[in-house]
Amino acid sequence: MNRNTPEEDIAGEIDRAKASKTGRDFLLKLLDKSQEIYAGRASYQVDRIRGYAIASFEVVGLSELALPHVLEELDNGHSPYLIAASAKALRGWRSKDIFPSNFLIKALTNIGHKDDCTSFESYWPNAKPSGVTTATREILLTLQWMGGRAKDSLVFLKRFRNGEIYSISSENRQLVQETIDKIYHSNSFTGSCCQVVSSKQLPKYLTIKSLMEIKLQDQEGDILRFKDFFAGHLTVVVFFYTRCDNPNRCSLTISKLAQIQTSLSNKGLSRVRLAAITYDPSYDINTRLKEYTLNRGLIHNDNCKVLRTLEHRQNQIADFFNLQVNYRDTVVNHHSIELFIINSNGYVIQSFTQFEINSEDVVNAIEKCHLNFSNRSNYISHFANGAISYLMLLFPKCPLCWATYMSALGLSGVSWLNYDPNLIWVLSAFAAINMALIFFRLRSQKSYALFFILLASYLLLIGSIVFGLPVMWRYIASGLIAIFTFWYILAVQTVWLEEQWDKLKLRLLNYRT
Amino acid sequence: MDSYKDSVKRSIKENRDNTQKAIKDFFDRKKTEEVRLNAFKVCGTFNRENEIQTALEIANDKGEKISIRAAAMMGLVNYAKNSESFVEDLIQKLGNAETPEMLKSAILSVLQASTFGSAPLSSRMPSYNQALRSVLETSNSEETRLRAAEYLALKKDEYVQRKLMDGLSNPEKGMVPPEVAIQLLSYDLHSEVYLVLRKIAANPPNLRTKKEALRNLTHDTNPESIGLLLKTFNDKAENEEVRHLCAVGLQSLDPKLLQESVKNALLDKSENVELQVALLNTLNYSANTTLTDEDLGFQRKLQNFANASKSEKLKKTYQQYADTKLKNFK
Amino acid sequence: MSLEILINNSSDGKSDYVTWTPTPCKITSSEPNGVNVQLSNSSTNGGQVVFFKDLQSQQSNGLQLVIPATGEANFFIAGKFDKQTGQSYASKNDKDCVISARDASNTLLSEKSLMVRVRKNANELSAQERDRFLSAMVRLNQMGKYVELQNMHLSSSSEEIHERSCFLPWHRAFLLDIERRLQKIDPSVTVPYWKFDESANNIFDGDFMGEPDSSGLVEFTNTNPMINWKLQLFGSGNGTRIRRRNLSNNVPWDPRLTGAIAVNNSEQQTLGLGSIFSQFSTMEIDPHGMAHVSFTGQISNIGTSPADPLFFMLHCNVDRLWAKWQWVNNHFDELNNNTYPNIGNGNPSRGGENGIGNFTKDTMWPWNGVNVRPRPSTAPGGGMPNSAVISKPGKTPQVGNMLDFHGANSLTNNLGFAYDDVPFESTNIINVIASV
Repeated sequence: MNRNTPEEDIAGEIDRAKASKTGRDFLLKLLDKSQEIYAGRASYQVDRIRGYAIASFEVVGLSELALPHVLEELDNGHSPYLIAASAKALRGWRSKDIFPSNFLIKALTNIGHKDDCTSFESYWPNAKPSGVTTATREILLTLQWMGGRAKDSLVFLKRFRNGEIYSISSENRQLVQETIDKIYHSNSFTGSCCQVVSSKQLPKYLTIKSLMEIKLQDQEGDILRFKDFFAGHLTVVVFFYTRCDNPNRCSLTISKLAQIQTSLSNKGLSRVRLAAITYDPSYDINTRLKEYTLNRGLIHNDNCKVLRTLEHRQNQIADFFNLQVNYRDTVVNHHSIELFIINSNGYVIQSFTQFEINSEDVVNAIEKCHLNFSNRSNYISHFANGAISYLMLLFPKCPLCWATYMSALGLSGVSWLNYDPNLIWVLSAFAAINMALIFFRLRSQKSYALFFILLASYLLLIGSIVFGLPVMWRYIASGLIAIFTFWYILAVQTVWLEEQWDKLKLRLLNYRT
Repeated sequence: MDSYKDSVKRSIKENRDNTQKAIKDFFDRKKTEEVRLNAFKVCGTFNRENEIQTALEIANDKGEKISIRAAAMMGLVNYAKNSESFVEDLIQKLGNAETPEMLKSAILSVLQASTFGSAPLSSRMPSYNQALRSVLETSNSEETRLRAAEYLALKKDEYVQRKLMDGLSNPEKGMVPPEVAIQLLSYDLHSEVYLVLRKIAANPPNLRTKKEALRNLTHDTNPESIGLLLKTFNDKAENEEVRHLCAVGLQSLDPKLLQESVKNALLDKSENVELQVALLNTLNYSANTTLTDEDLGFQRKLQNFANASKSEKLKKTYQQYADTKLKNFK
Repeated sequence: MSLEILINNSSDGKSDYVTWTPTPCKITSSEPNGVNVQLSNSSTNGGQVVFFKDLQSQQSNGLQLVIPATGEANFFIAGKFDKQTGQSYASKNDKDCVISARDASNTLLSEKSLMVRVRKNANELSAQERDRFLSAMVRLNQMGKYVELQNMHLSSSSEEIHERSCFLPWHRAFLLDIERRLQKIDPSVTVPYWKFDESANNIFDGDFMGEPDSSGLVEFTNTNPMINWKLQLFGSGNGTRIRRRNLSNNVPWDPRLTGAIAVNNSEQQTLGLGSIFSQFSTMEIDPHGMAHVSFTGQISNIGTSPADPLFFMLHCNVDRLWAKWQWVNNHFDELNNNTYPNIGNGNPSRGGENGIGNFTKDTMWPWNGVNVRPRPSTAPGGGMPNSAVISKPGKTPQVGNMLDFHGANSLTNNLGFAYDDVPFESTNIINVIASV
């Protein structure tokens, strides 16, 4: 499936995924906004595809990986179709003890009088659809489905019913009353939620060094390189574009950045750098960027700039931050809220994505980082880490390595211990721990080849013991494990060394400036 | 005593008396349709409880002339501010294929005006939108369908956008002419139409459509679009309005590129004077024109050209341009 | 001897603008023994003012003033509005009103140019007035400062600014915002009004607000700055031009020949809706909403309507009708619930009629910068622009600030705008209402 796949084919695939038990992975993939499938499409097509896929989670069950995407639409989406779909999808959430009713309440507040009729019975919109529903209706039905787990929402629902939030139609009033009654009369557990973690996690030790030479233009029209503003400074960076038609996203993000600016200034942290980068550099020329951000309270100065990339380097930035954005041609067709904190060493240390930015959380994170940075003992620990790291090349240094060494050596010695049936399970457990740790470590680097080679070697070894294959197979398997485990240690340490080198370079750069 | 204030108060009172008489005439079923409709013109809105009840009866009376029912509906518009049942009834009638077209048209005015101040309608926006979509499918009146399409398009409605796109690809299925379809689709920057504009501009069914396609390319920072706008602007055989709208587009997308071409067009004696006037006007209201403002050679030539011109319009527009833009040159 | 006349008590030329409201002025002299002067209008072509020795005195066309040895004398002026005939003497051009100071022998001692600056019927503007307005509008747009006005009036903010009592005060503040932005570009500009119950052949002309072609697209003459108008709505293509199709309810309608086709209530009928605010405010739908939907195009939809500059001329008329209703019924007192029904503070956790933003002491979104619900989720535009002439309503206006727009209860309430057919009148300020 790609940008050229006709909508009917995608819709058919979603229908098939909905019907099969294994279809969830396909649906999950469609939640990623940067997927190729969304490129080159109008926003309403993107919304239709995503909404149809999201609504399917009601049937196939909503996984933890899909949950943040669904909550994102409830938190700050503005398409009635996507909000209705998200409310439906939540009814596929199987967790009994917690439930994000606060997101449903927020969606009710957001949708206001912009709600619309819609239907999920077929993919295409219709002037007279069957199974017609609205976002408000789906939200209320989900609250009903939650029953007692939505007790936290009762105060809001009563005010909503009374028209205190905004005016409400008689049929919605009746539905709200039914919802209140169902929640009241439910005996189920009252749970409140929710610290939902964004589905987007950037790899650890992600450094901005690859972006340093990118040419940017600021709101005054001045040209600078990425490194000129970002290198050696604790920086908050947000993404937005001035043609965004969802006021809950870009417009609010810039207002929040302005709030962060004020808070930082009040806390004596006005030297922390703030950057807002447009998703739409060809349209958002510097004068537009200046007016837009100025009108939302942002004060431009040496530590606060609004930027656009030059020389078509936007993709590089999008890839680096894994930006959840896609384009019809040169125009953004959908995107998320995205804020990152980059420390003075150039590492992305925290992301605030998908959900409305809480300026207080961002300021707290900055304060924490600032404290760490200003602690001089930190430098010593950095140095110590550097020295120790060389020892780590030769010596076991952490639980991961202990497990690695023990399982590698242990399993390779298993051939001489084949008369003790209990020990093989202990050593297999070590092998499993080792493989799990290796998996998680390699996953952050998106490199799985080594993991699969090692897994195959372990399986060969264990298989040769269990099925009583000739001893030669055990030697081969043990040899493979020994070689590739050492290879893995080297690979991990090489990355670590590279990171130390980058840090040193950044320090030098900072020193120069 | 201020006689001006007295006269205003007096005119309000006199008008109130005349209004009462007109309302009485409009409500009088014995009077002819013409008399009643003439009376309606000065009725204003029906505000008192008894007036509202009578007007409601007339509006819903299938035995009444449609024109009288439609007028009664129009006069009830302020009743939609607070009455849920009235708004619900109007939405139901709008979506009903059986409702007479003239009545539907009046209801459409009342409901759309009520979007500017009726809480009951705001809370029923989904039903109103759905009724508008029904109008697209069921109304026999081209005018009513066009209005419904426009109200939906202004809200970036997906259904109407898909329908308009279908019409652009299959002109025989189009519910509006292609130039109107482009205009309605361009209410949404994120719509599909922008993907086909270059194609339409290259092979337009008529001049209006070409104008609309080129005008809306202005959103597109793609070099191909910029190239097409520049090529069209430089083509002296092209219609001057089309050339000017390309200039306005380029002024947003690439002001430097535009200014080079504009310099030539402004000093060319064989150029269309109307185009030159429009270009000077556009230069005057452009923010980024340093290439023309600071080119003293060009400014001298332009001054001479304008002074020698026989067109008063050109002279006047040049003067306005010079007054605001050329302080340094002076 | 040097003599200087200071309008608004300021020597800054930007302060030389008055409306019908008495404006404090002073005259200074370097003559050590004092001097007698006669103040009068010295230009008959431009705007005219009347003089007051103080607020307890009657107004007059000229004023005898003694400048004492201290070198300074105070007086008031106001734009001349004849309350017998309703004729007003507003300026047509920037500072075309000239006050002269002469001594007893009629020798000219000093002159001061100023402007009697009020909002006028757009259909009756001179070509220069029209062009100055259009020019300032287009420049505002080109500077990127118009787009934020559009972004204040979106469907997502509609619940804050429509369907409740603050509809009229909010749109008054909105007009004041754009007018002050325009005046920073050209101080002689005011927003003119489209009197939508009358024909307007000059407004709907290619030289002004344009004429629609058969598709509904508005066309302008080549000399009209509006040919450069760009729509910059949230999420709208910037190549889009204004669409404004005249509605034809079974018969074609031409706004150049008759008033807005969908509007039922004439001016008199609107003013006669009732003498208390809740009765009058039904005008939110007719004539206001009906004027919007007398066309199709951006103007006919809440979220897009300010994209068409006709929006501001339409709303200027809505505001004029409210101002006139206030004058007819003497409703300027914010403590009188017939003037405005919601006195005090609204419930901060509620929207709607009883909610925040709808009470006299509530600050107004978006100028207050609040984007926490129940207010809209974004507050674009910055604060209310300041004025070189007066200090009210400040950067963060309150609903109550919009009521006494002339300063009838206190001159300090004056917002600095007025209409050519609504005179200043006060029952609190002694004698100011006395006729010429």
